Amino acid sequence: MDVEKIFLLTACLMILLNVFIQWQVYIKKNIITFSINSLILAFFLLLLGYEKGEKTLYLIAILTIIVRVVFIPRFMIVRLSKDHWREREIYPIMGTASAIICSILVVILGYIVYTFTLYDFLKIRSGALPIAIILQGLFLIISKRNTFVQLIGYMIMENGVLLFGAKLFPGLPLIFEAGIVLDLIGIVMISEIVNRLRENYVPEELEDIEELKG
Amino acid sequence: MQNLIYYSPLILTLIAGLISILKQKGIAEFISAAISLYVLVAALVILKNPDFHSNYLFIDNISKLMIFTVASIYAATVIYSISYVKYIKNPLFHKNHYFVWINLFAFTMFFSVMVNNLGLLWVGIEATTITSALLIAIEGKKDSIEATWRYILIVSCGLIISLLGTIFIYGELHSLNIVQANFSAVGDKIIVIGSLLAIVGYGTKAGIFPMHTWLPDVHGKAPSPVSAIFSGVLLPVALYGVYRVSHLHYSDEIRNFMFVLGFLTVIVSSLLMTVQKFYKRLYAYSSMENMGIVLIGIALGGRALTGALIIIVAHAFAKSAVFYLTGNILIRFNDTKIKNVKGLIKKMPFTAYCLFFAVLAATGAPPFATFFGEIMIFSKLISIHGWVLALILGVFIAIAFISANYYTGLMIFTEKEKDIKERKSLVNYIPLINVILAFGTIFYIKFFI
Repeated sequence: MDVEKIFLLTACLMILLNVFIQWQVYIKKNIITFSINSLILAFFLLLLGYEKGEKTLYLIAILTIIVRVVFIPRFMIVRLSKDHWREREIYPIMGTASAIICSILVVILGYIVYTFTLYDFLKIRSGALPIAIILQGLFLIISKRNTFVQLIGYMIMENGVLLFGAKLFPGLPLIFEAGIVLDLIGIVMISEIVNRLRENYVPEELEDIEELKG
Repeated sequence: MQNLIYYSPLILTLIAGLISILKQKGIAEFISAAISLYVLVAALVILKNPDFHSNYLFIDNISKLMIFTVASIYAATVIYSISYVKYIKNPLFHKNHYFVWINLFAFTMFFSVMVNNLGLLWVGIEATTITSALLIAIEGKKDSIEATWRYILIVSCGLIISLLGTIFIYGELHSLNIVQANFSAVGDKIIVIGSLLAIVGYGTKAGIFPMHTWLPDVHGKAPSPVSAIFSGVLLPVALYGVYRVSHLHYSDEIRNFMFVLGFLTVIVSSLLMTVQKFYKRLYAYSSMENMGIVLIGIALGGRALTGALIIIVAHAFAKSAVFYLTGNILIRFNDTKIKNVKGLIKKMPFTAYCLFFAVLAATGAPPFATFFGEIMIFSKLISIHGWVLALILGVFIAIAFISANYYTGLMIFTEKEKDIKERKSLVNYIPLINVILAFGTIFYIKFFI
């Protein structure tokens, strides 16, 4: 089994799904896409574990499936279904076409940045793909108003980092991974509470708040 | 069993957090105050005890100092909060839960400065975001909730960069254990890249330029005791992360990078301080400026590092006092604008005098310890980079000093307009004690470092 090819396939699929999230306006579809995104990552971790004979990678893959594929998306969808008006991004900052173009441009930017910086040390050409995923996540946060999508952007960034770590330095300590997952659950829970409060005040567009400037 | 004292801050704050969930009147306040004072005593004992390394904990002199600083501000904040939460009109959640979060917040900070694993250090610093977020939003106002969301998003994204850096460090060292990692790297570029990424990420949490934008929003809109604990200890805890990752490998690139970031932070914050209209934002930028100076101290090493540690302790006391006092002002004036707060010296003389000296202490006026810390950093800076850079840095620190004290003076030494009286409460003495401790830092710090 060629790990390199599977890695390329995994990363490319994740990038494509991220482009889909970028232009999709229905939040529920975004959440499901993120879940599939995480599932692909988990599969890669399982295969890598099998190839390298690392039991830790199996455990990390199972942890990813439980938390990122099932628990968090389910939690978000349940929360979403309580307020129907939150199901769609009402005022997207960017139109569909420009969102797709920008997301692809971000991938190219990731490749260029990686080639001129990290490639010199790592000597692995495909390392550019996880960096592109991280930048796509960041771009998603910047380009969307909906807080659920911003949260998905954050989790995509984290998926990119985990993919990067798994490919380049497999076998991160399990306790570290467990900590990352616990933090992620905490962030999602707290964000949900804050967003619920925030949308009570600013349902559609943010007003200018004088005291939060300068 | 004899090592239990090292674990006590973690165990006790967790217990205090859990007990505070109970909704019986007064129980959260009592337990939190008692445990925070006990933890402060434990921190003092740990200071005197020898270093301690185990599979889980790594406590050296720097950790001890951080434990002491966190414990002091935690205790002061809990006691001050007992009186302050009464003034929160429509809290988002039960007031007891405020103490749940503040205890858990202290737990995550202790965890970050004690843990013997760079990965768990990241986990701890990220967890401080979770435990502190709702504390900012407790007043339930539109702008405080907006500030909370900005805080969660910006800091989490910044810390993702640290996560990437930590993975690089692991890839190079094949271990995240701090005892094994310290200065063990053999000069590979990967460790340098990893450290640089981790520094940028932790710098976000410490309010270091360019990812500092959450800091003034949060400090400006959080309740005053929360601003105090944020400014006094959360920012230094994040810098502790910077210190740890910068000491994996001796590299000029890492040091120069930290120096440039610290320098830019001082420049940006001091310039922004000149145009502030809101007093809490003004003091938030002052904290950012101090963190910039501390980062410069960490970058230069040697006596500059000692200077940075002195600033961390003295600034924690001074700035927390400043924020407690802004709480007093806010309760009485119900206004956050500098121009609307006048005549403090006549209306609230105790607050006015304390604020005057606390701001002097926080901005590095002699004879406060921050001044001596800055002098140590300057002497190292001159010996490494020469007079020109020192002079430029000095100008910007002076701008920050003048701005903070000028605006504070406008609030204190002007004619009274409103009929306002000093709040009568025993907790008013906490800022006074903190100012005295900030002044005295220079005398007792030598026993710790």
